[in-house]
Amino acid sequence: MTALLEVRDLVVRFDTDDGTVHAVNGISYSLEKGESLAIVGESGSGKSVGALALMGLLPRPQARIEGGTIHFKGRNLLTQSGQEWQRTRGREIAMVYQDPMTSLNPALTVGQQLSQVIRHHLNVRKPASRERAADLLSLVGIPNPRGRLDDYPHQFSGGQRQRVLIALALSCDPALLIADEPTTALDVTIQAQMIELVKGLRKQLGMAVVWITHDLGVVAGLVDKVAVMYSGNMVEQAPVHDLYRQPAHPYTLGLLNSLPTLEHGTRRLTPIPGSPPDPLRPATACPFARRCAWVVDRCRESPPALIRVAPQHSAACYRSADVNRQPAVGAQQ
Amino acid sequence: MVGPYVVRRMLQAIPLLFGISIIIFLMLQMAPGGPLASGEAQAAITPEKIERLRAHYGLDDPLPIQYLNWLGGLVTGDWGVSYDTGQPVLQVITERLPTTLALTGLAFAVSLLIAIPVGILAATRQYSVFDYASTGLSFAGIATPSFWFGLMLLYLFSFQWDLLPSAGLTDLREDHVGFAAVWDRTTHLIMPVAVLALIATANLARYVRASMLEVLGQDYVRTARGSGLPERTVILQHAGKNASVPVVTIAMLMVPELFLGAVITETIFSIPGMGALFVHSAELRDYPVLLGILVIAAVLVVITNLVADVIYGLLDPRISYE
Amino acid sequence: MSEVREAAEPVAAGDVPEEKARSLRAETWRQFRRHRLAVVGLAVLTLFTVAVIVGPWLIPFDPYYIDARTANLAPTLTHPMGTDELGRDQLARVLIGGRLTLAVSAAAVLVALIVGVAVGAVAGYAGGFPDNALMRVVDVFYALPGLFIVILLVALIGPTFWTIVIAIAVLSWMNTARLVRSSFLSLKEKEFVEAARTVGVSDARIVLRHILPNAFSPVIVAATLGVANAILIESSLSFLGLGFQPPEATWGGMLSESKSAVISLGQWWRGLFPGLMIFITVLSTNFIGDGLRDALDPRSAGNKGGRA
Repeated sequence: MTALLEVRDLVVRFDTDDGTVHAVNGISYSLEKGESLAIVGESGSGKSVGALALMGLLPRPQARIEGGTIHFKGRNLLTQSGQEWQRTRGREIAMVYQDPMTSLNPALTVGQQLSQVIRHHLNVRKPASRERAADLLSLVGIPNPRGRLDDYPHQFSGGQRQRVLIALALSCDPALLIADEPTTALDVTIQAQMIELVKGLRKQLGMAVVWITHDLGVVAGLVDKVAVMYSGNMVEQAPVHDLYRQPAHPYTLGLLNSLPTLEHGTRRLTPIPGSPPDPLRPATACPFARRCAWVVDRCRESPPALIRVAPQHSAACYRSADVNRQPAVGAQQ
Repeated sequence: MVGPYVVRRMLQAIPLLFGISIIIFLMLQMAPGGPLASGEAQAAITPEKIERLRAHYGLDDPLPIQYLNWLGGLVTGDWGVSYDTGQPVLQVITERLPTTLALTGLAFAVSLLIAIPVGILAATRQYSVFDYASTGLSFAGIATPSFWFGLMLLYLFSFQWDLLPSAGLTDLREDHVGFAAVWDRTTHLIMPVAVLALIATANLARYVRASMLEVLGQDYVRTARGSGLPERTVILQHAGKNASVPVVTIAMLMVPELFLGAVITETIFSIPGMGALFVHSAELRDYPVLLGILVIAAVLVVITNLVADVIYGLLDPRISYE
Repeated sequence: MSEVREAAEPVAAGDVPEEKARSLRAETWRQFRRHRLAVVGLAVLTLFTVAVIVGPWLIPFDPYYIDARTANLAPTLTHPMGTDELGRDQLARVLIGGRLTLAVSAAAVLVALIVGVAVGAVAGYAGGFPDNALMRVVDVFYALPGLFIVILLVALIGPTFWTIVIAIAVLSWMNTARLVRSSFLSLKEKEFVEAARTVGVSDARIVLRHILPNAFSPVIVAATLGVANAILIESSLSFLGLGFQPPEATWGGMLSESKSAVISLGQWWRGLFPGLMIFITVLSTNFIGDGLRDALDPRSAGNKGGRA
């Protein structure tokens, strides 16, 4: 059986005034039907670029996909025509965006925006599409859904707008939902609500989810597996519990150590020193070498490849075995 | 909902109109020699007649009184009498106004019809040959003096190729009827409208392009694309509606510019409109006519601003009329 | 991103203010040079300015000398722009006319700049009622039917150099006033102004030494684009026959005089060259303005791309 989504060696470059930005340097992962994956990394790690590539939404003409394949339901998305993309996007793969305040069209009512997409993909008449739009709003927990169809986005709160965006993404029952940091722009209390909402909807609708976040803390109960990205590279991939218990890459370990935990409330957080390398220069060494406590000469000579360290667990580190032996909390003397 | 808003905006425009009228009035008073200077220079007008005129127009009254009298006349439809022809100003102006308004309206329509599609196409194909070509032409259009453009058109189309008539609005030698009359009128209007529309078209195309580019980079356009909507819907409905908001303002501000620009066009092509009348009256210092034309122009400015505001409000649901 | 900030900070911190100003100017120039058309525009405008200043002395024809033997000549090597019906060399007239057109435009922009900066500074620094009143005046001037007012002023007072300058300036100062005002409104709250005030620096000194230099970038751009506008207005005025009177030459005036020769006699050179001069000058000025805007306001400088 083929996987629902299979990304292989994806390379994305950006042309800017200052030179070529190496945004994504050959990442690979796969996702089964109904499975969920979190892609974790700090801003600039290439995680959002990778997600936009899945949607065929990379900004043109600055962005170029230099290599790799993205297979969805067995077909390569990267060789699709514009028309085929229009049938894929919103219908089979849908996305929830980072900023709910700017992601809805201010000049169209919420009902118009929803029913337009429903009519386009599902080929139904206007009254039926409005009916479905109201159902969707109620599904994502907006009170008085029928009455709110004719409201404009500015009449909704931030959290409600994110709910509307989720409704928009779900409007045609996609097989894959990409959530690009859908909680970062929201208040902490609303963040938790959104996570619960997506979790519940996933169970209810049985879709696969790619959850993109910079916060390793939110993914614990949310996804099946986690991929960690650093400076355009995938540095570690593992089932979520393995990753928490036994990280095999120093960066993952650093991320875990910089999380506040309830059990160790009094312990000082350990931030990762330094900053990521210049994305304008192609990597000739391990991108994390400059900030790494485990660094050896070899790390500066050539970048390590992603290799298996345990079943379903891989890491891109020469010393993953040493890192892996450290307990997740309180490492790094 | 919209009604009271329009009324309130109109009330707000009243102080503006007062300000404009005071400045216009004072400017005329500033002129050395006073309003009757040109008449005094003409031997045909006797000193007694000038005295009578002075008394008749109340030119010996204090300035504020003169201003109020003039303002009262404006409101009651008594705009005074032309020093030049003796006809009532309102009549002189209404004879000429339709020509200039037609010219302005045609040029405005042509600008919109060309600039909007060109601007949208250039924005959606940024960095394409079409984008570079249209941007280059817009830059050139903005820098082209309309009178030079008109002169060069006349040289090519009237002198060299003899395709279009060089002056006036109709063929005075022949009476055309039916379709021939329409054709006659059209051939007379092609060059004047092209000349008048040039700068507005170039400016507007740049604004449409910039506005579209700005909007196309917005998150909600990405959302629309990400929902799989056809590119046509994304560009015309999602981007277009938002991009039109600033464009409407700029476009409406161009209407008075076109109206004023008609001075040049009417001069090049010998068209008897308001512009030609204004230049003629300025040379003769025909104050009542000058004042009348300035008032019309100022009212046009205020009206177009008002229209821009109202359309703006209709297009952007975030603007509330309360 | 944090990397960029780290790299930039130590340099800025080590700078003394004067060097900082100089490096800012150098940076502006560096940015400006990236705008190729702006550089071309600057070169052309410089060339034209030098040409209209020294040109009339270099060429062997008097722009006012009437000679029936050389009337109505098409362009030749001797008369590259041809001659008019009075036998005057067109190139000589274009150069001397350019001098007048450029001088009027520069003077008008300068006057508009002075008025605009003064009004904007007072409104922005004083705030409150003076600000409100001055801004209403600005509104009124914006609503005036521009070209008509210029025509009126020049026709009523007479077409002298300063009348034309003032008439153009009267309708060109409002942009500067608004820009300066808004700069002042934001700058007067800034710490360096507060600091100057607490140590007892006078208002006038604060405005002149501390705020004005910082408010200058947008004004420079507006002034550059204002030159282009002034050239077009002066030329329109002359074309309508209301500007400088014959035998004085201006580009617009030459076009006005050429009308019947071009249309009835087909002497294209009479109309082509003066108009081309206006066109190229205005185009160059606009390019320079665009380049300056990009150089002085990094936000408007193209899209830099980057990572999502």
